[in-house]
Amino acid sequence: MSETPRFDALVIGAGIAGLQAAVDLADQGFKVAIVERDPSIGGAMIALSKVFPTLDCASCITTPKMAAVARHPNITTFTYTEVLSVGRAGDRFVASVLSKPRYVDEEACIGCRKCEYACPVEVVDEFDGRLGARRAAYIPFTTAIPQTALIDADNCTLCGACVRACPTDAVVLDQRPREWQLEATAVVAATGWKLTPVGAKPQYGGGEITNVLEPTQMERLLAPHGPYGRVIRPSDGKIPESVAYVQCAGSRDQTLGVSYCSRVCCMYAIKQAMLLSGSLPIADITIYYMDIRAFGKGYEEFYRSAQAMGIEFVKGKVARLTENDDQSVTVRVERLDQFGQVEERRHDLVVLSLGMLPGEDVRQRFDLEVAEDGFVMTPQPKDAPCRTTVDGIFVAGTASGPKDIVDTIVEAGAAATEASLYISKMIAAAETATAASSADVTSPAADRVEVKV
Amino acid sequence: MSPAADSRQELKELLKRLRAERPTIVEAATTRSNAQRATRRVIKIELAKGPATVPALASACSLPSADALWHIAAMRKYGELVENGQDGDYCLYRLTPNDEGSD
Amino acid sequence: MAEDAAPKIGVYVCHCGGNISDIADPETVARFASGLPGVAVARTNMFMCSDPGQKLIADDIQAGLVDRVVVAACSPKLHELTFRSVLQRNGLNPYLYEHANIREQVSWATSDHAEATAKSESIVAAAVAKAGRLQPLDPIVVETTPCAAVLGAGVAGLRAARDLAQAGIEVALVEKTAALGGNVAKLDRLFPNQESAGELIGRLVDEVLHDERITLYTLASIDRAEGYVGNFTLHLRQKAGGVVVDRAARLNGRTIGAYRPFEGFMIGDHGAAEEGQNGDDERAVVIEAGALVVATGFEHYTPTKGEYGYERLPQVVTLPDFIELMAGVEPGSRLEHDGRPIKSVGFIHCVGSRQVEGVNKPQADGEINEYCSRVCCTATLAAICDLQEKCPGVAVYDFYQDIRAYGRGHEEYYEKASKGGAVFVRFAGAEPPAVAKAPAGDPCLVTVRCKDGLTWGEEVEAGVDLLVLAVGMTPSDVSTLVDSLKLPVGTDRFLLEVHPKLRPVELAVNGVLVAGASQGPKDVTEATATASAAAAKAMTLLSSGRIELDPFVATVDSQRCEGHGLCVEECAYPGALVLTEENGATRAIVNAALCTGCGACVAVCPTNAIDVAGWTLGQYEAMVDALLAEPQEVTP
Ligand SMILES: Cc1cc2nc3c(=O)[nH]c(=O)nc-3n(C[C@H](O)[C@H](O)[C@H](O)COP(=O)(O)OP(=O)(O)OC[C@H]3O[C@@H](n4cnc5c(N)ncnc54)[C@H](O)[C@@H]3O)c2cc1C
Ligand SMILES: Cc1cc2nc3c(=O)[nH]c(=O)nc-3n(C[C@H](O)[C@H](O)[C@H](O)COP(=O)(O)OP(=O)(O)OC[C@H]3O[C@@H](n4cnc5c(N)ncnc54)[C@H](O)[C@@H]3O)c2cc1C
Ligand code: SF4
Repeated sequence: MSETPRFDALVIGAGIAGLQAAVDLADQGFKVAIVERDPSIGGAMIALSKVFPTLDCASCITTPKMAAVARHPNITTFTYTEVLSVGRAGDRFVASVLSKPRYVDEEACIGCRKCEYACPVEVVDEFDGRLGARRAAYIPFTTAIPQTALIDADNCTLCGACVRACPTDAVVLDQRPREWQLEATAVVAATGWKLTPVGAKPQYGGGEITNVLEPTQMERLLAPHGPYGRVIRPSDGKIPESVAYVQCAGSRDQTLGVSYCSRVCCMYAIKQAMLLSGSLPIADITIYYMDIRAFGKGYEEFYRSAQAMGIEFVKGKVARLTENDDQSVTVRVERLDQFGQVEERRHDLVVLSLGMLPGEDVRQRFDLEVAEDGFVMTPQPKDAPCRTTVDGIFVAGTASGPKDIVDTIVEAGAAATEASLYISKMIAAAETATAASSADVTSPAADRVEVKV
Repeated sequence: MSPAADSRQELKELLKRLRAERPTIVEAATTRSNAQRATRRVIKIELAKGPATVPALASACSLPSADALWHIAAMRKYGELVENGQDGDYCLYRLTPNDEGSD
Repeated sequence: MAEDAAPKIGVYVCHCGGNISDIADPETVARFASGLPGVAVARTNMFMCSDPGQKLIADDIQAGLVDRVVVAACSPKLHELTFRSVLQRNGLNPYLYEHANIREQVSWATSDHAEATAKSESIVAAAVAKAGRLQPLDPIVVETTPCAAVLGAGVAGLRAARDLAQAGIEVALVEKTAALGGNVAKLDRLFPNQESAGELIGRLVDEVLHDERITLYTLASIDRAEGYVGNFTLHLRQKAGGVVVDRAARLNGRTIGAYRPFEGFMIGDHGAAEEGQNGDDERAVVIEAGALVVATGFEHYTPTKGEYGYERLPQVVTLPDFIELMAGVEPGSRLEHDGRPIKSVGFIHCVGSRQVEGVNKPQADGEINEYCSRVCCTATLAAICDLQEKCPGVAVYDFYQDIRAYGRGHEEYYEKASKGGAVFVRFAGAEPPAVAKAPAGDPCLVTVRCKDGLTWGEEVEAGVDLLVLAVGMTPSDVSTLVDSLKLPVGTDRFLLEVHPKLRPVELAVNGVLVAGASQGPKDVTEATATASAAAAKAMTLLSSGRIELDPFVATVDSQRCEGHGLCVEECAYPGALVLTEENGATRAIVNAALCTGCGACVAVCPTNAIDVAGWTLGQYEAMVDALLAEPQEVTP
């Protein structure tokens, strides 16, 4: 026997989909490994402000799920660890994973942040939408799990301040990456999404206009611990008087190779608009759209309350965004509701409602087939939406296409059921095989009646 | 908990060895960090004169205003500065009273 | 009432990342709390529910600093359980916990900072007063019936039954009609992969009929349900002709059946009647189940007479009617309806959905259907594509508000329909299209007139030979179940989950799960996903054979009880309170599993012999006193 750790299930990705699938499997008594490549579990959701349609704060929903996973006796969590490949070995899967060096001993670190306070290097913070700052020694965000510091080697000047500051001698600057393997009977791929590139469209400034934001950046501006502590525009800190949303900025557009609808952008734009009108009571907020797709439970009602709050919805296609001298942005729109007449309007801040791309190259890494849209292919979409082209690997959440949190969580529960049944079947098959080889027994299935339908 | 002399020596050697391992990365990081700290010093001097808005600070320090804002965000996060009212459409920032010299 | 030892209460005030601290000041509240009698420590944290927040409490318990806990944060609905388990994990009885809601009840309801802080202080003071009087309680443990009942045999019910059975759970699958497959059986090819509805249903039914752990009842409806998680009893009425497929029926091979397009999968050689209950009359069936999965689906919205000409003009049909019509059309053949050739077809979206107050007639309950039915846009576009493919010459007009082709592979139908020449006209919900009989001599039969939102509100008029109404979804009638188990229903009349993100497939009644379109409009993919998710919850509930329930139930002090019986009359839950003879005296006895802890009995007891554990009168009094106490310190 090798020393390869064995689990009933491997969950790849600890976004809300992975977290939910892991808990559902562990609650049924299965041993689960959840592997996350970021330094904390939580995925994209933990960086959101509040979430539609209930307007709960995203942290309030995510942190308890994160804590439940971290504490569950049947779940082992690996963070800052990337699943490189998954391959079948007999009746189980073998995954190769890469644990990246934190340069901090996870066992010894007590999360006191003394290293972070001591670190003299400040860099752009990815977690805060590249708007705020963090140190080179840092804990990614206040509610991160684990509360373990890490050191960003690309920006570390090797001054040694963190080593000296740490009260538990946890800093290990000569840590190395470690590639290792684990085995699991079933796999749940919950590898999530990434944003379509902000610079994809030259007509929208190609990502070069400072006050044209990614929607995830606006989420951070609206979040309780956002980079500026309030909504101001990144070019110069002006409190915006008018904010605009450009819908379908990265989706439903064949020229970008994203012909599909990203499903969440209408709703997050409406949500952000509502939150903005709370935090910027006098600002004008305009949403330029083609169709408002408020299709989920309670979503149409949400859309109507936004209209009632005075948010302006303009049906039109935005042709161009240009930066003005005062760093405001001019939106040139073809009004679909007015014979395509062209109109220009100035806004202090423009948010591009970008769409979703797959978060991982699952074809290369896990040998899963993908559909035309690039997301994991589900060959039985109607009656078994979590099955993939590999028996024993199931998919949950946005890994199989854009989805909101509600649909993601439901699908994670479904993937857990599929995985649970699969694991039980494999265990039973193994037991039958052992029993059959050890003694003469009649098959218990012999008295089953075949029914014709 | 002051580290013993030999462990201080050990650390020094470790840092030296690591620097030798990836010289270009460390050098580039150090250059960036130095530049950033120089800018930060200028900003602090300017702010010590009194509360300022981002555009005012940017022009006083000859910085692009977006960069000035980033420094403000960084200082705010680590408790070195707080908001101090508004001037028109812009927030005013001032140094945290008893924190000017820290860090 | 003297306490054994002085309590050591820990108070933890949450900022909720600004949700609370933007309005009320947690630091001031904590300072105030630390001065209250019995409070050993008072602390604050950015997110008490996060790991670092929970650790604060754990450390204090471990250090012996506190033996009772008050967290002042969001609604107890969200995180009371989270914090109780912190106590439990650290060796304290989980019921030595009191939750103070200062978010929903204060910071989200009050905008004045000083008032909000003062109000938070009062609420915390009350919680602390109660915490001092808390007693350790033990959860009520009940054995569970290792069986689940699934109501409705549409795709969601079939999928849930199959998942549960494969997990080793006995399942009773109850279907109201004679056929399996639900509304999907009334379709032809399904978006987005054009799979045939019959094949899909056949596959699911095949698995269900093969699994001997599933007992299927058709033509069966629920009269009444009772019980609680782990032990529900369903009283069914099965109509004559209803089939029971159980182990015996499988042994006799009585499970042969066939799929009939636009009807569903029928058990029996020639339909249900032959294989039924030997022509008996209705019969009663009683089912015991540990968990219920409600998968009763939806019904198509029926337009009112005259709505868009429905039932007035024979050329006005619903989308399901049109789908059935098209299923019989051979490619390249001439499209006919009502004996007339059809050269143009109009479609109107959002019929019965996205209704507008004052424009659309309210439904029977006086409410309008504000919700979007989610599937009708894509279903309409798919029908248009089918029409364009089979009958290329037919003109198509599509009247819509927004095209909500959101799902994987949906947008393609929109593109295809547009490329195929469909003319799209956009109307506003407040100004729906007007439908009229075409004037005599007009080549078309029906005219649709509407202000086109795509052309500056220009009035457009289209003459069509057939008008298809994309009717939305309304929930199936499950009132007998809803009434007897007191299940929550939303303003949209669909079953209402506890929380769309935290517990999306659970209803507020423990042990009752929801799957498919009974919860709200869903396509098949989404319906089967909720079914499997509900199965996961049921599997967890039933796997250990026992369930722990909260101990907040009535308790009778038999010394004080004089057997008046007023409480029994007052109790609304059959069996929860009964009178028994005890050593010659009449006494009230509580069945803890049936009692909901509502406290109605407490109010009527003339001798104050009843209290609800965890919510005693003494505790209430202490809370009220604390609330009414003069503020000790006026906050700035
Ligand atoms: C701007 C914006 C606002 C939104 N607002 C809302 C809202 O208000 N309400 C709502 O319902 N939805 C909202 N959404 C949608 C929501 O973000 C998604 O539904 C949700 O994040 C999907 O979760 P997930 O677990 O599928 O993916 P993710 O959160 O992306 O999680 C996937 C995880 O897998 C990890 N991973 C990937 N590959 C590997 C690998 N090889 N090894 C290890 N780990 C790996 C990733 O690091 C990541 O943590 C919003 C989306 C956007 C873009
Ligand atoms: C016009 C139209 C076209 C559609 N086309 C598509 C498509 O192409 N692709 C797609 O994915 N989706 C499509 N849908 C959606 C699809 O019909 C639903 O997703 C699906 O039917 C939901 O399944 P369900 O099991 O939840 O409910 P249902 O199909 O409604 O099944 C519910 C079952 O429960 C039974 N029942 C009801 N009440 C009781 C009771 N009290 N006791 C016992 N049993 C009860 C019913 O008889 C029925 O058998 C379409 C919907 C419409 C309206
Ligand atoms: S899915 Fe389309 S047709 Fe149906 S209610 Fe929603 S917007 Fe209207």
